[in-house]
Amino acid sequence: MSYVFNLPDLAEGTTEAQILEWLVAEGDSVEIDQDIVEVETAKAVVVIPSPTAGVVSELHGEAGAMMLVGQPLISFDIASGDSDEADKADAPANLVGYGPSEGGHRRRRRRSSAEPREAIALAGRPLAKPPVRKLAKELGVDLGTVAGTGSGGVITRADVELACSPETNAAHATPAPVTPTPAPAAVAPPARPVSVEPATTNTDRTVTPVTGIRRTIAKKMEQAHAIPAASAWLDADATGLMRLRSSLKKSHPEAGVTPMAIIMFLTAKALDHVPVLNSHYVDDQILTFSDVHLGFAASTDRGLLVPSVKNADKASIIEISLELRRLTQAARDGKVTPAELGGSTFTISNYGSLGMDGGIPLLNPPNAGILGVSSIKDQAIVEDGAVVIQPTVNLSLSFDHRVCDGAEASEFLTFLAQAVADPAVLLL
Amino acid sequence: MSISLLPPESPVQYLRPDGTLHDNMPNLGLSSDELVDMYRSMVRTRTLDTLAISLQRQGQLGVWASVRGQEGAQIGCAFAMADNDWAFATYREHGISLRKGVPFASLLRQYKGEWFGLFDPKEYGFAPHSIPIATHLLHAVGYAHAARLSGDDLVVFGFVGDGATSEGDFHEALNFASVLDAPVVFFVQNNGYAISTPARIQTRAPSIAHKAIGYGMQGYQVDGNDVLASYNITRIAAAEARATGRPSLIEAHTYRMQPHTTADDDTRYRTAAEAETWVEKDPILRLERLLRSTGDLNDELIEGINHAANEESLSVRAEVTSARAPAVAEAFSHVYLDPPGHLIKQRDAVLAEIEEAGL
Amino acid sequence: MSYTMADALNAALHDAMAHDDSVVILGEDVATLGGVFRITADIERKYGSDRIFDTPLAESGIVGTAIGMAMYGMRPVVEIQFDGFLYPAFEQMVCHVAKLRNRTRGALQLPMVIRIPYGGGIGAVEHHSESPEGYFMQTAGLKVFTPGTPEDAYSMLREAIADDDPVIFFEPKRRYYEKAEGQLPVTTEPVGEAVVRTTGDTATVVAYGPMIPTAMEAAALAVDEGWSLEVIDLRSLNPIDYDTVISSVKKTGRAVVVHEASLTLGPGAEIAARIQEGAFYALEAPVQRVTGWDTPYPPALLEEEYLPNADTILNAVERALDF
Repeated sequence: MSYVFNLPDLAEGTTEAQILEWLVAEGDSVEIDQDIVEVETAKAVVVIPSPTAGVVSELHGEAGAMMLVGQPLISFDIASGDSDEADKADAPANLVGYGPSEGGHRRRRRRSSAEPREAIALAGRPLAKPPVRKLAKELGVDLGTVAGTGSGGVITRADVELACSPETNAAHATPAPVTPTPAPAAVAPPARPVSVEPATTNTDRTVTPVTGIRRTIAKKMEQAHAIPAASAWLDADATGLMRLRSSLKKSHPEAGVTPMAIIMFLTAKALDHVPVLNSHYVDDQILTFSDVHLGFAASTDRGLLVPSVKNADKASIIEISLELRRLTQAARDGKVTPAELGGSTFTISNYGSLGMDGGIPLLNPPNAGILGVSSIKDQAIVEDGAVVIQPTVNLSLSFDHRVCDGAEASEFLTFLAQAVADPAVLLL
Repeated sequence: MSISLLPPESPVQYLRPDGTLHDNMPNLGLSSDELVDMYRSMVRTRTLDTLAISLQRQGQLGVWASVRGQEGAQIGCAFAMADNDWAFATYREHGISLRKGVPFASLLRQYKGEWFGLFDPKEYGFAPHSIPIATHLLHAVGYAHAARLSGDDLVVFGFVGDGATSEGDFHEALNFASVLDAPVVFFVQNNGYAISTPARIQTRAPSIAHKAIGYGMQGYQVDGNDVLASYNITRIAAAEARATGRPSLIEAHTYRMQPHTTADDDTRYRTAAEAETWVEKDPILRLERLLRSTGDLNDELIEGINHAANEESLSVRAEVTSARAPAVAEAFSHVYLDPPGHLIKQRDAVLAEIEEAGL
Repeated sequence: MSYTMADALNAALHDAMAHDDSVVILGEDVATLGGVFRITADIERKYGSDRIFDTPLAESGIVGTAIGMAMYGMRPVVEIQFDGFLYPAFEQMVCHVAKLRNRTRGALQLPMVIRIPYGGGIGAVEHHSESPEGYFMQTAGLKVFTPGTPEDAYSMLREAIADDDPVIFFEPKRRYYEKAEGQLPVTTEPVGEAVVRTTGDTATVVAYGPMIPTAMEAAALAVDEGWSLEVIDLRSLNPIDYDTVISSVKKTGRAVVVHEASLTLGPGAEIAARIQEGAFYALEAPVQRVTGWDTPYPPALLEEEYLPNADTILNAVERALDF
């Protein structure tokens, strides 16, 4: 059997040795400890004695060659059946690992990080990492009331943001008072002037730090603005809408039906007609929902909130109206719950209540669409070649262009406009 | 009185390199068998030492410090040690450890890296090899002192080389031994070099043995390659220590025939010619010459002794080449009597990590 | 009845000598003089010069000789006269005392104690106010104990001497004359346990040795601030009872570690790392450390500024509360 002898580390850290002279030749029969080769290391000239008895089968380098520690130097054929030699032949490379090249060939396999950690029991203290604690403190969230959805019951950043309701915000946080900005329908921002002004020396100013809920809103706006959105609008004939509203006011006075409630009802129907607009765009996926949860922008003292009317596609106008009224009041009173604040599939922005004639709403991510509704007022329009007075409402749809194109937007608006003009079309 | 503490001018020698004895040597009371045994011990020491060098060259040991050339000093000393005497030695006292019965393979496996101590010191009266220079001499002193306080009549031998005599612990050990009346024989093998540093720049004292007077103890000088002189002077020093508790210092002049260790290149600081001059003074050769002349040794007997040594060498080789690393867990087992909690946790974490990696 | 820490240590040595013939004491000036702090007073008179003896002036020699005596089977109790003078013995302590059991796979053990008065606060000259405990806390194979009260001084020294592992016993020299009420002998908690000296829930103060009375003073003053401090006396620095510390920090959420040793790589660094590992989710603030400066121990007239005191501890608590 063959026994390969590797060059050992001869002097505590050498990595190579040069063969000066072979003292045996291939085919020679040698005894244990017989001198077989003279090598030179960085430290000294060394004669290596044979590690085994046997016949030299191969010299792995010529005189003058530089051999590496741990690499084959000389091979022997040894008599099988000799247990000592067999031992050595079975032995791993004759190095015992004193040189720098030895060892470290193993790689420890990394544990899968998906393993759930056990719930970390903590007497009476909420489980949250320092950055999350800091966020909670800034947002005025009491960690003790937050359910943790992280591994082991740990409270995550998202958990805190979700829990960020106006009620707790008002109780704990003290952000600097800010003039509430109304609808998210920001008018297209004026082109920013390229500023070449020197740093201002005007010290007469107030500084309003953006913290807490305002900061959260600001972040959301930035996020929305990054989405490739497009807008389309039309002026709809609101005659049918107003007639229906009058009628319901008489038959169901307690419901306090507003035009907005009816528009919400009709929007839900329009979304049934063009479902792709009832979607979320998330992580390169379009999630299209079968239920319609209509979010609507509500402006409050503390900032803009978007409660949502759940399952608007299955509700009657009366039900929508009552829910809309309830949520609006709750928002004003600072009593909306996190569950009521989230989960919208489509959003409506009613800047009409502020007297605006039109606008280009900013998307409410991850919703793929947002409908802006203007004020309803009499306009002079041309019908059959004559000028008539007609109540008109401007319906403006902003949509995520990754989700659909102008065709779907038009179809949606057209359908909605027809329903607003005459709700009876829904019966067809 | 103190003047007699000084060593004689020249080292004591009974046996010349040519194998003849000095006329004025005292009667040593050694039988033929004992003399042959001395020879056998020296041959055994050299054979196993040569094996160790070989094994290092074959990658089986990380490093080895050869005792070649110093067998006479060590075997002579060893023959003067009683069975219950203790030796505190360096990494080069292979002759002493063999005579004390320490399994040679255990020492080699130590230098292979299996563990730091693979024999029970109490079983052989041989302390673990001391690598830091001279530090073990203090342990020798403490051991001897405790023994004497306990009414034990043993003598402790502290072995060092010429280099160690510069260390602070050498000085402190001699001082403590003398002040405490600790029965220690400080056996210094002056083999000419501390790695590359020649003995002449290690001290300006006339000899290392002269230092003894500074501690109020007797200093002796012997020709270390004369196994008989080494034996007799050690015998005298040990007897004194056993009887009176007085320590002493023996300087054995010898020569380190091999480099400091297998990692050393001695061509950088001494000439081959210098080493050559010591070949003629070889301790084994000299005793062989004497014993051949007395008829106590002949070719056949020498052949038999060599053969036995070689057989032993082969079995040591087999044991060493098959030695393996201990279990990882053992690294944690002997730090304290009972591993504390944090160490157990650490060990378990390490073992778990290794297991997960599938190794 | 009352006794000082010095009395307690002296009594412990007497009692250990009486209890076990293999106990021997050695060091500079320990026998005739009874030690420069009188910790070994009267022992030679009672037990004779075979069992307690004065050595030549050589720290390495003392510890090395003790090692040999322990190898033979005795239980040496070594006195190093002052913290600043232990360094010549450092090699013997770290290379040999710490390693002998391990290197002989348990065949040999060293049941010895090295007693070292340490710490500042006595207006001393150079090299007499050191806090070198860190070097030995990180040396595997050594145990490190340090009493903060006279009761613990007695009980822990007895335990140290009885321990079959080598123990470095750091005695807070500025507290040698602190008094305790009661009588000796006394048995306190086993040395492996850290002890909660006072309970509280504002912050956990981890301290040891000379800083125990300081931490207690801070705890008393904390009440005026409306805080309640939980002071933990580690007692053993190797091994450290982290379970007690972590439980406390999980309760209070804030930790302050106090020691005289310098800040950088001081014992507080290790303790803070362990607290962070074990109580991460409980921490309301980073672990605070109140320590000596990263300078050599200052001259006596600056000592008061340098050493942690109740005020600096309370400042640290306040910093932790600001988070």
